[in-house]
Amino acid sequence: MSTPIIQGINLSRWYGVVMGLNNIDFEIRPGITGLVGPNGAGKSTLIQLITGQLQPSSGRVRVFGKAPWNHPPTLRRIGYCPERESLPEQLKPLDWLKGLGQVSGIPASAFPKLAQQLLHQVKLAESHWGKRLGQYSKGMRQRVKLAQALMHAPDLLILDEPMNGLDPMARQEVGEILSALSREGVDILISSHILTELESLCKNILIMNWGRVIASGAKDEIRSDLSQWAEELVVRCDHPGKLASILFSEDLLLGFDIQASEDKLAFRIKDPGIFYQRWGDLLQSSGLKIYEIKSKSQSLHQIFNKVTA
Amino acid sequence: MSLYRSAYQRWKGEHLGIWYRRFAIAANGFQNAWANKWVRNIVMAAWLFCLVQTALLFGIGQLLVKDSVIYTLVEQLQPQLQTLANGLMSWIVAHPEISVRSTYSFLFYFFAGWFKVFSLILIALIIPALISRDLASKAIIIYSSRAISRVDYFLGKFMTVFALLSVAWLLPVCTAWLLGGLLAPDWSFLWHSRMALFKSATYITAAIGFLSLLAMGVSALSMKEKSATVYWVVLWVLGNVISNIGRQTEPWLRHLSFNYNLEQLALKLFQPRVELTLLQENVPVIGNLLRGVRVERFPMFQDPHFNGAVIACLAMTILAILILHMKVKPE
Repeated sequence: MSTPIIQGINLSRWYGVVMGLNNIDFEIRPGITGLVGPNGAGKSTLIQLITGQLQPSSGRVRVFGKAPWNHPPTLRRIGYCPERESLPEQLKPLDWLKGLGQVSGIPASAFPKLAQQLLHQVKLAESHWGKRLGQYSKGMRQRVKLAQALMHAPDLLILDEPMNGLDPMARQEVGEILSALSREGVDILISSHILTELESLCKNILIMNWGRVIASGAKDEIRSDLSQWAEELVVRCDHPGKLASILFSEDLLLGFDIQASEDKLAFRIKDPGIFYQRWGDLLQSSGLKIYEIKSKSQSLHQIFNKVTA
Repeated sequence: MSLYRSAYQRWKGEHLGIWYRRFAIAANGFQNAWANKWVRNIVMAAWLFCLVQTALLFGIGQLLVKDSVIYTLVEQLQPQLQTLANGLMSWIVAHPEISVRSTYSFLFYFFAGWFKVFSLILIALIIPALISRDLASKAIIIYSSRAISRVDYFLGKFMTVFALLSVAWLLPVCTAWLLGGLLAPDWSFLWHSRMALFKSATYITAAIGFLSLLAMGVSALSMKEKSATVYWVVLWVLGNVISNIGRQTEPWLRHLSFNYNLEQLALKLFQPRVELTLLQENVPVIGNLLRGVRVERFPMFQDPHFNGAVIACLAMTILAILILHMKVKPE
């Protein structure tokens, strides 16, 4: 298994009495990783810790093996596109990118070519380059923010809700850019509160809620783990109440719902391993007539909704 | 062809060192400030004062030239005044080490007050763009994610103000000294006025360093650009008012004004009282007249409250650093 590029060890962050991150452990490996969770889950706090914007209240965060806080050599390897509006409104994009590039150690001679190249790359039309950033739409601002994050050729790109404000076409374009960067060897951590945005893009997923990491790892592993954790079946039979009673008495259920009018029993399985071991025998011995068994489709999105509910 | 292949190439050059990046912050800040036409006007006004100072220094030099305009003017005076002027000029020629040094010291001290006013106005003009703008636009988040520490960011901002104030204060004064010396009939003026230059340079460097830090602290106080200017002007004016109240009530109140504290530093360095005594004791005829000056009526001839001023400046500097530490962060 590849070495993790980002590690959190007993990592916590408080804001006064409010807990942003609650003693989490995680590892992020090379490739594109999606950081998913509802608003307030702690995604932005985690990203701020990774990009050296915040110090941990306790525990450690390591990026490429180093603590990023106040550590320019590590920060040089990171490109960060924040969620918040963070553009100086009175400047024009080329000027701003040049200034930021120089602050990143890129010689002045590389400009304006490099800035123009980046703006082309994020598909910001040339006709807008002469405008001040304050005159830009949200989508245009997102593109400029993305351009500045790419400027110094980082090894790790961290994008906090980069799709916000982008139209579907632009989202697809950003997705293409990120895939291309990933092929080039750039590792990417991308956060969103909308999982479907990331599902096609990311190899790995880190799901967060209430300041905790709920699941992390390869997308398929998570799907498998979580679908077992909370699998839901719908059975249509002649006596759904009786079936519920049998399964409940065997302590196999987390919860159930009898839809008597449709002869349906919907239930959530407590332990899939034990359940499927006994499920066949139980059906046989019950004498019930089973018309239909349906497993609720477990897309990653459904799992996400379930575990973050 | 994908978007990536058609347009994007990673930059593969060498990253330059930390001082380049600090200077980049300073240079960008300077350019932004320079884009303001009022800033350019104030700097121009400061350089006009430099010319005035140069002209005065040139005039002093002309006192040593037998066929200069000054001599022609003196020859047209009444005989008594002529005697007095001739005596004075002879003394100047005979004792340039005192005459040049004292005259330059007085002039540099006098002009320091004006240059300081220009600098304070300049700060009022640039203070919104200094740190407030980065905080207001949240661009600080992006700056702090670059390969620079907070100290580097502060150093860059400090250099921005320091450089601008140097252009409007330190450079004109040094230029005036150089031109005054070069235009003098005798280049020994440069040598005899070295202490005046040294005192000036020391005072100006200390003052603009202190003012730069203070300006950064005030700029960091406000998340709204216009408020930063208001805070600065209030600090300046209110300080002066409190200082005047302090003169008649509690003396320590005077040190609440950064302007007063800078004035005390200037008095300590330029020592106009010492220069006056020197003139009183050495200049024929005019020295006697100067002995009649009632020094207690002029603040510039009072003993400076140097220790109090240094402590107050240090306290203000620490306060500014604390404000920067607490306010300038991406959280």
